[in-house]
Amino acid sequence: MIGFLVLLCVVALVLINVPIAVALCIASVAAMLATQGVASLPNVPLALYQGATSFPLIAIPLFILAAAIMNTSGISHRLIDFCQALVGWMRGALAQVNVLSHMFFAEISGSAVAGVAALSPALAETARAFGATRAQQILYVSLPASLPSVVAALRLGGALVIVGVIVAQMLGAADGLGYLITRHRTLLNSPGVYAGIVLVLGITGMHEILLRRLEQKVAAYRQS
Amino acid sequence: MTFRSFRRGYERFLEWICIALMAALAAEVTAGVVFRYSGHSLVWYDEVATILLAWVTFYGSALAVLKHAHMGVPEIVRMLPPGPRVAAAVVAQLCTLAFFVLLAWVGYSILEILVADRLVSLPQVSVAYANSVIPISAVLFVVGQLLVFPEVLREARGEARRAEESA
Repeated sequence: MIGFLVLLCVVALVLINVPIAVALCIASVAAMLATQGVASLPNVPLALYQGATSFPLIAIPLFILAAAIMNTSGISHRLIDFCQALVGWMRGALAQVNVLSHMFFAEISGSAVAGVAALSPALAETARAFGATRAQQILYVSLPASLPSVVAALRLGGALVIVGVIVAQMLGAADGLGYLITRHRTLLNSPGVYAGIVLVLGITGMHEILLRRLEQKVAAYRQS
Repeated sequence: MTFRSFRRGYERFLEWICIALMAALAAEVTAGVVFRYSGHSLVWYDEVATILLAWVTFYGSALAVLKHAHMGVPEIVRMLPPGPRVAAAVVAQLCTLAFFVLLAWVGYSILEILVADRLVSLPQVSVAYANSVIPISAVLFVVGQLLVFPEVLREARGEARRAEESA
């Protein structure tokens, strides 16, 4: 019950434009006061501090710093120029240069995604200049522009979902494909295990083929 | 000193804190890697790095207030009519303010308890120094929140004027 109230409190605070992080804090403090009283308050600064002192998270500010240094010093531009010189003569050079520069420095991915995201507003602006209504803008500009990402997300996400379901069945279910594989493995029945694996392969293959069909349908202008 | 120049100076001050902490973090992690490769690992390197990360986070959150950079959902409030919009903005600001005043007070009160605790890898340093970031940044956050309060109010009202004009 109190958990539900906390959730409600967070949503209400977020909806009146309290920053999300602060909304989480306020709701938790309210719940602590309601259930454990004032004596539990010293936990608040301790928990906040503990949450921030995580060694793996140090990568985040350092990556941002690295990207900022690369962008302001022109390293990323030179890198792209270099890749342009290497593979720029190929057909579809934009994609080749993109992939190659990412191979050199995965850090640029942040700004590359931003560049892709920045394209859509420019297109929407053009559509508005030609007198498109808001619905038309969404239907003819935003939706087609985002379709490749949506289909790619479906392909990647769908595969992850299949993997997730099967692993979950292996660990905690009493039925299903994952359970079948685990059971036959426990019984040292290798053909049974491979039958399960081949079935999983079949499912993911079907998923891949179906989504590729879908991609050809909805994003026909995209070659490859 | 005018209000505006104070706000600008305050923002500059917080920016320099964050720049210094960020530079210290980068240098410290680099030094840690170099020392480790040369076979003389620093014992305290990861603990100090996590403390610096926490400091960057909390001082940065105070700076983010001045830059209106805290993630929120302003869309719903913007759809409201002018009166409720100003009310919602004021309530949101007061809630945030109340939380950070509370945090500053509680954070300060636990420091004297933590004085006795020592860092694991640097026993001569008290945990209270590392934890001091909570009350200090909470106070900085509150000051920043008060400084941007007129801007938030103006935005809530200013958009109201535009909405009335278009209606």
